Amino acid sequence: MTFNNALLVVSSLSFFFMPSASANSVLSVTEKVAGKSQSVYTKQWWQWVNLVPPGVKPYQDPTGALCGMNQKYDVWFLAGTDGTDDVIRECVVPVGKYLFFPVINMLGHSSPGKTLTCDQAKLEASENNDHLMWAKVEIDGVVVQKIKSHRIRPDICFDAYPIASYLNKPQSYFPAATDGYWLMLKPLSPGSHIINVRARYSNPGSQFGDLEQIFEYRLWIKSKNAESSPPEKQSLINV
Amino acid sequence: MANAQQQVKTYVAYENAPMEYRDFFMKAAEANKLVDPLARCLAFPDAPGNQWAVGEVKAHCEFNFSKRPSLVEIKAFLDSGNVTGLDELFNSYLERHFSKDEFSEEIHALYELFDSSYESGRLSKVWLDKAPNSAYAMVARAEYFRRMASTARGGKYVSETPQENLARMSEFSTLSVDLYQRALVLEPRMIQAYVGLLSIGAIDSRSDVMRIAIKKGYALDPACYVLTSVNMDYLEPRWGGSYPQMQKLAEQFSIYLPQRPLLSINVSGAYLDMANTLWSAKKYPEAVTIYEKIMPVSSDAKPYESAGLLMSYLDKPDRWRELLYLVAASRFTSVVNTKASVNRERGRLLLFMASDLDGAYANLKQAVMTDPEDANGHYLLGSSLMEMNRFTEAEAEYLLALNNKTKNNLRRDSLYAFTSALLLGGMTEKARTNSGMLVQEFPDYAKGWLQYARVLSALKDSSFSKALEKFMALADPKDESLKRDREQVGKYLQRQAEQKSGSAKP
Repeated sequence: MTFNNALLVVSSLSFFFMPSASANSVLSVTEKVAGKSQSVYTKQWWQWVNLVPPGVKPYQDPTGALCGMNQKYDVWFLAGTDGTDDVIRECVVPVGKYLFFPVINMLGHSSPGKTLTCDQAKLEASENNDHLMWAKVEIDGVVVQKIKSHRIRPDICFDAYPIASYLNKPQSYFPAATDGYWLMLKPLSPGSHIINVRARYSNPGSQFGDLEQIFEYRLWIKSKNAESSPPEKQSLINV
Repeated sequence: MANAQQQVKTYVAYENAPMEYRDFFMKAAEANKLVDPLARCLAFPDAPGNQWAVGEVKAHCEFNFSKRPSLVEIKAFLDSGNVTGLDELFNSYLERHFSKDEFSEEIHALYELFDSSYESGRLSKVWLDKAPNSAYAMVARAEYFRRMASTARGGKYVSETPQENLARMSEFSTLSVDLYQRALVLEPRMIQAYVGLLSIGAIDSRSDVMRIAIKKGYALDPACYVLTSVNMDYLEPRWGGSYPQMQKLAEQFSIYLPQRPLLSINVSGAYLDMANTLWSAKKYPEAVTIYEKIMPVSSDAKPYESAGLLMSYLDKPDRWRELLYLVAASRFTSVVNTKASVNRERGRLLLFMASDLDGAYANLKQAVMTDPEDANGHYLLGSSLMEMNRFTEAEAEYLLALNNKTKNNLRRDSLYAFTSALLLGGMTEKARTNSGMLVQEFPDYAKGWLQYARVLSALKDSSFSKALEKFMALADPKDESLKRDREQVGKYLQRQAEQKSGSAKP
């Protein structure tokens, strides 16, 4: 089945069996979770992503098989892509978890032989985000409005690689700055949910200036007493 | 004391090289002036003592350096919507693999463009999206996923690799295998697909995939250089193979050597692995012996490069032979694609031993670009720039080297060399600061005090005599390298003392 056909099947199925996320699922960008601002979570997200080396990064996950890796934070992180693949990920999420993920985002940082100041790192991170071509997010078929109002660009730089044993000199990657469009979702109800994201920069000539995000999460929110995996797909189709 | 600013150095490259090597070095230096990499490779002299097969050099140079489309040019095809043209381009390379008159194996080199980079991933995705029924697009995409599988796997032993790395590797492997197989249905002659399947099958322990790739790949072309190379790699003992198996494979394709001289590189596969294993076991003389046995019969750069690097570990390193090997290795691998450690060592010898300033600079510049965190690279590059009278640039490199306090004597030597650069550039106040740091941080370093004295003398600071006295007190009388300086300084101080006491002769 091609990716587009898969989306068509999913879209038609969603009407029949999935509990829908309401319009209030998405927090405004100023709302906090567990006492922390979403700005803090953007930094934690990058630190989560960089716990593992290239090739194993959450945003390089083709299926969602490793979506539960290193999920030790107050919220549950989902990942976009690195722009080289369109993906459909299946992921089991414990009930009661807020979900935090980038619609599209950038990280600017120093690297070996290229030392940046904090301001330079922030500039690097913001450049493409000033040129968002389009962004569309659907949660259980409901379009999220005003994605552009969910831009988060923290003022303070941070260490994006605090625990990166795969790097020779992690200190060479400091400072880092992030900028992007993010969503924080309230805990979804138990059962299946679908999050569909499409976004793209248009900043010709800039590195990652053509970055495109096309990813979908098929989530199974697992209540404490429920089965640990979603029902078989065949039974869903027959509903 | 002589004014340091008035020193003008002249160099004669390879003036001190042994006669039997000098011609090679001079011709290599001439070839390195050629901008076109293919012309350079073909013009490069053969290493002394080689008995390479007829046609091997031409085949090797063309495989590595013939002009081919880049990712940028491939992108241009896609941006203009010309997917048909792109398919035709790749098809033309595939046809040549099976052509008698225009034979070339460059289809493999073309697919080397598709690594695990963002550009490669993005381009292969766009190509396949625009041409979903193109076997060439499928293989490009498969190559990207294969490289991602390898990236996820990492370079450690399985027992040292986290489970999530292996799991991710298998996911990418599945994507890759599927695409290769679909490509072969559309184009059964897609030899690169068999190369990819063999490689990914080995990485992901899929013996079924490997078996089919070997059987059908060799049926298509029993003398494919890249297929036999990958096959040879995965017959190494650490992958579960053995040297007898590697030798058997070598015998199998050796019959094609007259028509396919590039296969010479693969014939010595077992010996190369033996030598590498000896190196890992720190049996350096034994490893060098085997590398040297491979050199006359294979144009592979690896034995030359490895033997060159190992020279430093021998009891009596032959530095000119080391340089010979490292220069010979540079024929078939561009400086850009060479490890920083090799470029640094080659640059170091070219600079300090051979006085080939242009060669040294090219190697050291690339070493620093590849490994900007290595302070020694900056120190060496600074030294080469200083010899070329490019003082401002030398200063920048020395400053980067100075920050390293971990490598033995690097900071000390950098402070010393930096002071020389500052003096030659007429920056005497900076030289004072720098040499002051040198004697403060390394008060027992005799040469440091001499350097300090030079600076003070240039500044007409009378305390330079005290610095000279310090030098004389610390200089080891047995150190031949200080003999001339000791004599000169000794005479000067004696004259000063005599003048002071009024006993000097007019």
